[in-house]
Amino acid sequence: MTALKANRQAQANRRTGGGRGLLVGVIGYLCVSLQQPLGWTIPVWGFFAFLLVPCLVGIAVGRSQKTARTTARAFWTAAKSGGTAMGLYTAVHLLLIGGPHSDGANSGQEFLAGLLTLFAFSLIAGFAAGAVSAAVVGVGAKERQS
Amino acid sequence: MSLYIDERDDASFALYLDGDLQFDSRDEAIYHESLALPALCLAHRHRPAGLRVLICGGGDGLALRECLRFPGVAHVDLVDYDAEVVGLGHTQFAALNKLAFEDARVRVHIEDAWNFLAGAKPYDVVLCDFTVPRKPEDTRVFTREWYALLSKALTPDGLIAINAVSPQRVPEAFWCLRRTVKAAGLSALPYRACIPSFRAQGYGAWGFLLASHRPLTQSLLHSLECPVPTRQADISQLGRGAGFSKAERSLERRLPVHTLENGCLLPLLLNPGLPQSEQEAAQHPYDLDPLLRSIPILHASHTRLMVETLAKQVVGTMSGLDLKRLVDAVLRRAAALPQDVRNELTRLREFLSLSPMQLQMFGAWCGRLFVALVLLMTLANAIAPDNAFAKGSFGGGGHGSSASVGHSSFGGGRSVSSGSRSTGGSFSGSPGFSSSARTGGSFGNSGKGSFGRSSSFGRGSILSGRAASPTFRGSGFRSSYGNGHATDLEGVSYSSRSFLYCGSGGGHYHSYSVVHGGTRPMDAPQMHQSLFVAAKDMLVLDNGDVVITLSDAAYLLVTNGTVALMNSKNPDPLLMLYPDPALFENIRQQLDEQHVGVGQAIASRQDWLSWVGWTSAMLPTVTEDRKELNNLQDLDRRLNAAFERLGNPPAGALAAPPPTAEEVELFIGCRLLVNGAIALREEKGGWLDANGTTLASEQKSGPSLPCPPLLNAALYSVLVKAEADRAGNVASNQHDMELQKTELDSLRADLAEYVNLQRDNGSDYEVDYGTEQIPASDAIRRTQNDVDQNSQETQRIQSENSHLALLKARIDAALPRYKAGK
Repeated sequence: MTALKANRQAQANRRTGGGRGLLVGVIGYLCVSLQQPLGWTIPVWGFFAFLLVPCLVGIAVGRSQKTARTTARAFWTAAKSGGTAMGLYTAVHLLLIGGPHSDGANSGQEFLAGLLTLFAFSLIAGFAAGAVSAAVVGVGAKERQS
Repeated sequence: MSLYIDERDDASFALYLDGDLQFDSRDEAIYHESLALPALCLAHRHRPAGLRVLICGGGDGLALRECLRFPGVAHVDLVDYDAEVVGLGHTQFAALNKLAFEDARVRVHIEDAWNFLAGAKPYDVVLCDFTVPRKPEDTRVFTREWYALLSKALTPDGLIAINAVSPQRVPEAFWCLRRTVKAAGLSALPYRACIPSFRAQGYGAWGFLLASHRPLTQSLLHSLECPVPTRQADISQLGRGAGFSKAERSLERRLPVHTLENGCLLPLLLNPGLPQSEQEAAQHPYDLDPLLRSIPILHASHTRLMVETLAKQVVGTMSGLDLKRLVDAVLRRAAALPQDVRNELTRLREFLSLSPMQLQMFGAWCGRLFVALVLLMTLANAIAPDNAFAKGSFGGGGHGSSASVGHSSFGGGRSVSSGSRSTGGSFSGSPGFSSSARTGGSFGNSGKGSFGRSSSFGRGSILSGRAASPTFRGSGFRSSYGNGHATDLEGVSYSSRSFLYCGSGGGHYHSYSVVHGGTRPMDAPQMHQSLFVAAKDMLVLDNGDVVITLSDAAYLLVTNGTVALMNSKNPDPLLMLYPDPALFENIRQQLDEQHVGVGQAIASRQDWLSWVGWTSAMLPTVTEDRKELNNLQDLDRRLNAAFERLGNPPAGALAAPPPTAEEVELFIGCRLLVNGAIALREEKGGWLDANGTTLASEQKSGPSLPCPPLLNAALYSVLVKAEADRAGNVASNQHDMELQKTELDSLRADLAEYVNLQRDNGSDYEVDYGTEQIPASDAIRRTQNDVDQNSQETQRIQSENSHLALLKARIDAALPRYKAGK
């Protein structure tokens, strides 16, 4: 492959990296959603939701961004993908379990609780995914330099 | 065309046409000898005599002069359209051209050379002595088509000598000319000569082209032998003049052919110099010359110097511009604009300050966010339609008012304990257990089951409307659970009821029990609060005991496999009743359903809190959710305790037979007899008859004892409750009857109308039936069915009213007995 073609391929990979990460995240959280957190036990669920799946997202994005000039782009791409996947997972679950016992009077605060949870979890998962992605890109850069 | 002859003091002169030097008499021989002699010499080789020569242009006669002095020239035709120049050739230039026009061999043609060549005979030598073109029309005689025409007028060994342009000053034009000659099918040999007057004029070395059908090489000029002496030109040096460097020759490849359609010669003449190479541009990135050379000269009067001077003038003007003063002037001008225009401009400036890429990205992200939200809400709504849009789930209904015949509650259905949403409603106001025709009592004939829609508590399930996954309608578990309130599974709170009795599993004390061999209890009586409303008339106490409320004054205590008839005022049991297995089974089933519901509620809240529990520090409702969960878990433990404390009836215990036609079951083990007495199934299985005065075994096996006043009071309260329920049912039935009547009238009216329509329009005529349109015959059939159903329902209500009337009679007969005996 010529250098120009390789460069174009790398650019294409970088553009689609976010989508791949999101797909990996969605699939990962689909697997996690086989049980509620208590079904997994909280420590196990926490490991899956905030470490394992974001790591997979980060690796998927990082590998596509390995030709990026800086790790910042890899970080933010993975953060968006991981955060979005976690956000979807959280939102769907909260909608399913939060509704049945809502008595109407407290629905506003319950909605707020759900919203806070969604944003917090998305931020954490996104950060984790971004860190892993940046690490992957950084390792790749060092290998190229060496 | 302007003509000017510059006459000098030394008698020399120069001819200018349109400002261009045509010749200077001092050195014109160099030009004309260089133009004519090479062609004549080469042609002379092939034809030593009888040469035919054509001179195109050259009206000054100087080229003619060269031809005439060359040996072997037999005939010369001179074609020039400029009569003025030809006239000068006859006159002012006559001395210079040696009276060439007087020669007999010369024929002068004042006409266009194109036209002349049309029917001309072939020539051995053609001299093209045209002026350098300054206008597009002047370039006609330099085109490929012209040279093609010339080649046809040329003998096979003939030659053409062309006055080209300077290869030094306009190399592009020179080599374009050569390429053009070659494109006409001729071989073209370029050569140049140095003419001092031309050089002084800035024309540089002057170029010529020698063309022929035969290949021409530079060596021809080197070996040129001229039979006539030259006056100024050095013919032997013309060979050197034919030498051009590779770089010069390479220009030709990049140049087009000058044709009539593509007249490219004039622009090349007016704009000499191809674009700089990229290397040169890189070395001088700020050099204006490449830019200036890009400006074409389009008029013969214009020069490159003029263009560069003008451009530099512009550049100098801009350099000298006071930008600050200019901006200030612009701002002052802008200040005079209306405010709204200035605001718009300001907004525009801010908008433009955003990079186009940012704006595009913003728009793209807005679109993505919108799509994501739409997908999320669509997905959520598809999975859980009621939840996604916070519609909630509001159960219940059907309390009290009933448009349909089927009432759902006892006592008119307006009791608090019928599941209304009010919190704090007194449970003591609820109808008693199974004294209701609807939910508890079994009146009328045995085997028919319950009187009303719902069966006796002892016979069937009490529960109605309990969701598998309960939706809380009240906040009892969040706030009032255990705080002097009893809560049902829907979270509705009721005032807690207190029960005082001795309950430790060792039996209960009452005088009758003691008389008949019972033992006194060992424990002191204790007060217990109702904690959980398992059913409309079943309570779970704080210690796990189950209480079936019969009335405000009486209740059944079911614990440790025993059933005790209790009153609210005395801790002693009024009577130990038979532990009917059916009763225990129903209680257990009821508790089990409640337990499942509580478990599901616990699981639901645990899942919810596993997600949002961390927000409890910020949101009070989450803290209340935790409290609610804790209370539910406490209730779950108490229900487990209730299962344990309930116990089982003794082995071999048998359920009571169904009541006979003369009996009306008030509750399990208690029946109202025809004579107004009440039969109670005692602990050992026999029946005791209480008539308000005495309490005797039906078998008459034991002594009759006085009926304890508390027992009378209890039975009296049960009867009062039964009467209240009965009255409520009667009122409800009356309401239903009215509705039935109204409905029947409406149905009959519809039926009559359908019949008329069918008669008038036929059976297939479509009529409105509710929201449908169906044939009249179908409408009649359906309406008739509705009428029949209405009739059946009416009959059922009437039958029920009959039973209620019978019940009233019996209750009315019994009430005085127990009232008096209280």
